[in-house]
Amino acid sequence: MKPFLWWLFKRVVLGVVTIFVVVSLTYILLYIAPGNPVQLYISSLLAKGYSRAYAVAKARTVFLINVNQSAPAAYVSYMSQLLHGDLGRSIYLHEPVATLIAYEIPFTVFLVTASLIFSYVVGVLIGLFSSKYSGGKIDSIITVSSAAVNAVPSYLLAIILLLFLAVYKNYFPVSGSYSVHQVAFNLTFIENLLYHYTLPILSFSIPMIPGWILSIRSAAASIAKEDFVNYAKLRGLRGRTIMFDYIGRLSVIPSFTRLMYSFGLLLGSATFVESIFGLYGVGSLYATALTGKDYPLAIGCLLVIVTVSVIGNIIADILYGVLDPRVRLGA
Amino acid sequence: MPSRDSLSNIFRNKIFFAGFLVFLVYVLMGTVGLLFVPYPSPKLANPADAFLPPSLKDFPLYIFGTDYEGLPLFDEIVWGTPFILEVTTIASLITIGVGVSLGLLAGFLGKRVDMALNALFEMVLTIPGFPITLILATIIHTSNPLILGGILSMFSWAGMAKAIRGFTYSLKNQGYVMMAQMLGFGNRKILFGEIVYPMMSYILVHLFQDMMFYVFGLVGLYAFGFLPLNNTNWGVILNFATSIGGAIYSPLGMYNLVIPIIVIIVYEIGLMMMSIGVQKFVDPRLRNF
Repeated sequence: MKPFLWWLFKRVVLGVVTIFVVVSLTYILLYIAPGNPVQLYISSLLAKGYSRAYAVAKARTVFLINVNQSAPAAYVSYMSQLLHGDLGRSIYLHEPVATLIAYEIPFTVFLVTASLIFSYVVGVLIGLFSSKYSGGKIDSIITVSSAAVNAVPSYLLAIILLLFLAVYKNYFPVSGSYSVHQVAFNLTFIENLLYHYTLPILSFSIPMIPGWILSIRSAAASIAKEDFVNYAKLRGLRGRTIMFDYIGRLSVIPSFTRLMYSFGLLLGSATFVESIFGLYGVGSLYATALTGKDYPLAIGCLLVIVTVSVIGNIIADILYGVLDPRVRLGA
Repeated sequence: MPSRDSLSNIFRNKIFFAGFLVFLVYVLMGTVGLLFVPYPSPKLANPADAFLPPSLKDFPLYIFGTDYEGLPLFDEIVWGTPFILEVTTIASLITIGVGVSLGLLAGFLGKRVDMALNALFEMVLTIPGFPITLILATIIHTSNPLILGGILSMFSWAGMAKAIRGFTYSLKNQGYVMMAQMLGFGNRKILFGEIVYPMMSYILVHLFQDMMFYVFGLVGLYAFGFLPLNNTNWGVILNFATSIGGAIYSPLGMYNLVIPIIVIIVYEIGLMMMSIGVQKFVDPRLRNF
């Protein structure tokens, strides 16, 4: 157990350093140069006729930066406020950044989780199916078409789906996360949510399916040659039993950890798809913040995205060790 | 051994060759094409001709129809090509250059250098690159191809470096490399002749895939307005079509969106085929498929 704890400790330290480096770099890029967003904000308040003291105090609550302090002191107090969970206030939405993100993040988590599960299930099924006909015509059709699908980025697919299934034919809503008045965990709301999220989930998950197919297929092809599979065949077990219980179960292990890694990565790349469908979520919040130059909100979103994906990576590594004892002591 | 497996025979692979032809069409479009197609200046625009469907009028100017302000789409797509090709090529070359050299350094020198470099690779690999690319693009806000190439490739070289490091480690202890050392070959000759050459196919596969993913990224950055819209490229066409032209919500705007999207996807498929072609050519197990 001890080497595991030491490994975990190293991973956590590396994760904290990563988050720290990302936030510090953004801070330096944004707030150190003259004419930075804080100074622009203060001068815009001064131009509106507010007193300097008021402008400085206001900038402090919005950006968490006290311009009267020296640069190092301002940086230290900025960091300590972030550590205490205060992410500043949004310039245009006039709300604490933490509140805004807390409201929007469940929508992104829902989108990413649903897309991952959908693409993974479809990918595993097609992958096992194609490995059964390995080398034949069906297999090469699947290989070629999955290569073609892999070449389509999710946001372009999103535009195509939106045009043909929501705008030209009204099968699905054009925009929004839900269209009922009450957000509650009842059947009407969930139905409505799924109705709004069908196209986003499809456009997010379809480009991922080929990756799962390839990884399942190659794993299944090598497992199918193992002795215990031949033995199972000799015993006269049904093809379906061999496919799912013998080959399927083992061939999902390598890709299962990639599933966990993908979660963190996707959280950050939901931006485009969420913007196209006008969904709630950290991704679209991040995009609005960036294009509107609302930097406190943008840094808040970035911090949350990076933190979640770092935690996701660590959990994935731990799970990998649990699933595959051979790597437990590695790294 | 200059057999049929030598990389110089790669063009005999049908998939690679088909992908290469697609790629060649785009390269020609972005270079020679500019000589034959007029620059999409506002003079060509005519609001009365907005959102025209594809037609054979003034062949080939109107084969893709017109955009929201009546400019021929073909014109814009041709003139938008060189920028995309330039930035994605620069970004891929940076990725390959940095990845291969740091990976070789770590694998070949080993010991402390390797420990430090490997820790760096691990850290960069855990950073979610995409959201950081977005914020960097917004802050730096430039259309300079070199800087954009740097931003796009900033986090993706680490995967390459780690793979090359692993390759180098295993090749370093192969018999033929030790033989070359015993024969007194110089370090440089061993590094490039005996170690890098066997990795060439892997590097090529990576190169084509990188070029593919950078097109996704670059077009997305322009299409969603994270970069200044001051030049013509495929992302800017999509951006203007949706933001100014309102092409999404008008059935007339279909060609303005669908045609650039198809142009982008065909280019991606071309690169994809080149990468699959190299993989199949090198890996005999995949050759039957």
